[in-house]
Amino acid sequence: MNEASRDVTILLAQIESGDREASDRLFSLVYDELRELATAQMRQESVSHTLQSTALVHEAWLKLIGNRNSSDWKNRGHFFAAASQAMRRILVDAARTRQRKKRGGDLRRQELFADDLETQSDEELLALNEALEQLQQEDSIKAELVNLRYFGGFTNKQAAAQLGISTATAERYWTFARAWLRSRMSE
Amino acid sequence: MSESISNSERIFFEAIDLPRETRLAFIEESCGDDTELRRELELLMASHDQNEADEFILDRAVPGGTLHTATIAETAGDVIGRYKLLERIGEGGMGLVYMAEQTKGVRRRVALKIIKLGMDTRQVIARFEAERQALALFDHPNITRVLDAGSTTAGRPYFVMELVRGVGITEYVQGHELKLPDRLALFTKVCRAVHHAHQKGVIHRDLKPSNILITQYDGMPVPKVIDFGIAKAMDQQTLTEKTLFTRYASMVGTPQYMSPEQAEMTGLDIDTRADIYSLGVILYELITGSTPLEAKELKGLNALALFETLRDANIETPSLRLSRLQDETASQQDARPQIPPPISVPPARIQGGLDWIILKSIARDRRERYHSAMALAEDVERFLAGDPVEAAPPSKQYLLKTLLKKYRTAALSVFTTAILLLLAASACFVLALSNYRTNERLTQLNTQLSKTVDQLQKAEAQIRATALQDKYATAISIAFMQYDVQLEHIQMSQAAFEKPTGNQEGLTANFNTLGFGFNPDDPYPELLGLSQRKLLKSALQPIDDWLTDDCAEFEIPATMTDEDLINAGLMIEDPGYDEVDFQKAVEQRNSLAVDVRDQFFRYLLNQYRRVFGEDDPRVAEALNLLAGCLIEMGETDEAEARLRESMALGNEHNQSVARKLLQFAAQPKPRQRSESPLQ
Repeated sequence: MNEASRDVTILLAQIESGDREASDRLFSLVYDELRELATAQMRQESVSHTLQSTALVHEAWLKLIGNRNSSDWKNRGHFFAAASQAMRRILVDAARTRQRKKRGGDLRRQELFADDLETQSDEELLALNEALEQLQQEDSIKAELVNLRYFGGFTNKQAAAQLGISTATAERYWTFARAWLRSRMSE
Repeated sequence: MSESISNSERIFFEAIDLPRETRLAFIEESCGDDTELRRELELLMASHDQNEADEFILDRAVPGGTLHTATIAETAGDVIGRYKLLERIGEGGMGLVYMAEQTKGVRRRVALKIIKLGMDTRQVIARFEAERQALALFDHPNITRVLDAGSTTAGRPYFVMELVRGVGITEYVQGHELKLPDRLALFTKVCRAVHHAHQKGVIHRDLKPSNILITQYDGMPVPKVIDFGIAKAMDQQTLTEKTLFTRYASMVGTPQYMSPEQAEMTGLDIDTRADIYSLGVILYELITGSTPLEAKELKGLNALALFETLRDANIETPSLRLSRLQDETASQQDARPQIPPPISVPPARIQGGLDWIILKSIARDRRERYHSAMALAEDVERFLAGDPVEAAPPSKQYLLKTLLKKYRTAALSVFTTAILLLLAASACFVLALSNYRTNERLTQLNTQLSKTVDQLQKAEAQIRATALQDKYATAISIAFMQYDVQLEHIQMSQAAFEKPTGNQEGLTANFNTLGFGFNPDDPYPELLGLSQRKLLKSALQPIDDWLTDDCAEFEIPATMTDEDLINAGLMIEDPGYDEVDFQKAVEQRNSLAVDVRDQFFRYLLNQYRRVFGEDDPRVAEALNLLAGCLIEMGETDEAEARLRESMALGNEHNQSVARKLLQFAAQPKPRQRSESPLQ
């Protein structure tokens, strides 16, 4: 068991016992891990290739947790919840970097993703991010649901279990959140 | 949650449950003079409508989540090892395929596949080398060998294969609109090729239509299974970071063909049955044009969800899927142009046999799958030959039905036998009911019914063994041999009713096998209380179904309704049975060939004599019926003798019928078949 992996295990136990700070530490740990994985992929690859963020999240899980505790859904849930947040952050940062570059503010090659992503979707992603932040203020559980489902690749059922709500409720929240976010994004 | 959002959420959900045109009015009413709330809801409603109408960002895969890395390194003209790239001929989930020319040694054209995913090239090549010996042993016309492997200058692994010009199997069968038997024949060739590889100890692990190419030799389609050994080389025993990622990513490509145990990603215990699963999915697709779990259902699932879906999802049987797709195609012509039209085979034809074969192949628990690709091929061949398939649940009705379909001409005689046996059995049962209404004695009937079932199976085996496709008469004589044996059993069992033993479960099981349809939980008194009519109806129903099917094959009008069959059955038991109905039933019999009727009436006569006694008026009726047949067949001498027997026994009506028939018999020429003397 490597150091990061041991940390994650401890953090998950702390989250389970209600330590809120542990969530933040888990987030930053997963965030670092995801960035490292993505960057490593970029360096190794010289071929056209599509990576999915959900695949990256899964990869991080396997690296940090492996098959230990894999049946423990609660741990898995906490981890993937943190990972969805981290993935959102990474994606948003990348989009911002590209936007900045597009405006000519920074011609130096930025880090990960800087060259290769289509910028067309960046504006949309940034708008979504802003709307989500707003939703977080007004109704955090729905924002979290969107995080899990969209950035974390959770199914509705998994997200419902993670949030401790019924799948029917989760489905309703999703319907509402979609309408709400869209209304904010088209404003 | 803020108060405003909870308010608008409540109204939002109430509103979307209403018809669209009344929503705005509802919102107006609900919001009263709170204009801000009203504006908010109108906006939400408009966004909701937009979400329904088109795609929102949340409906797509994470947009920034797909990371495109740099461009392709190799192009045509480049030289890799001993090979010169000529042109790019394909792109798959794992890599790019080039046509290449071998520049050293043998000059030949090959296919060269460059793996595009990041992975440890050394390990890939090491694993390939480990399996190389086994791959070299491949000698099968339907397997394309992997000849070589190496590493490009950029450090990516490549594989060299025999060059095959062909298209994927699903594309081929759809493009050529192959008929069902041709599709199945092609599929069995693939199974045999896969079996060959399995015998050499090589599992494919990534069977899918794009790995089964079809080429044409002399106008005949020849399948070529490609990429044997590649998936294994790319797999890994040790869960290292890079390879795990790769594995996950490559898995995202075509999970529809992947067995649940592969999706579970423990990665340590994949055997030949994973290939059987993939073959089953391919067979499903060859028939319905779609995979059991469609790509759109699996898209974007994370690994855990993918595994759960493969493990838990309900699989539509191929026949159901086919009939659904056919309906869809019929109803919305060009609505789904990207989906190929389903094969135009009646779903009923694949129901049973082929459904079972496929479901057995794609069983989630691999222990329930075929033990080898050969066994799968053989079962498909059984289906093609019209034989009962191994995958079938053990049901005698299915076996009988399959045989009936196969030996079409002989089938009618099987039908006749079955009727005779059932009539005999029911006569026996009714006798038992009326005479011995005790539980213990009823169970004696079980012995007899066991034998009936045995006899049915033996009759079936004999018909099958002699394969009397056109030898109708022989089949009938076999049937009647069976019938004679059966009568003995009835006599024996009648005697056995006297001796009490008990076996209720066995009795019920036997009744059910014969199609009586008893509920084993019913108390016996209720069972006894079943009306004769209901009993006979349920007994005769399956026979009638077969008749309807088979009459179509024989181009005989299926005029015998189950009501008629019941009438025929009831005449044996019910002394006061209405004569008009009796005549009607008999007239329906006339739609059968005269020789079948002849045999039937002889049976009836024997049965009446045994059941009612030599001098019962009903014996006279049977004699008249038989005589009518005989006259039709030109056997006037026997007819006359029968009619005189009848005159001696009958009541007034029977005697007058006999007299009329005697006149017919006296005429010099036999009457035409179509003009029955009874009509």
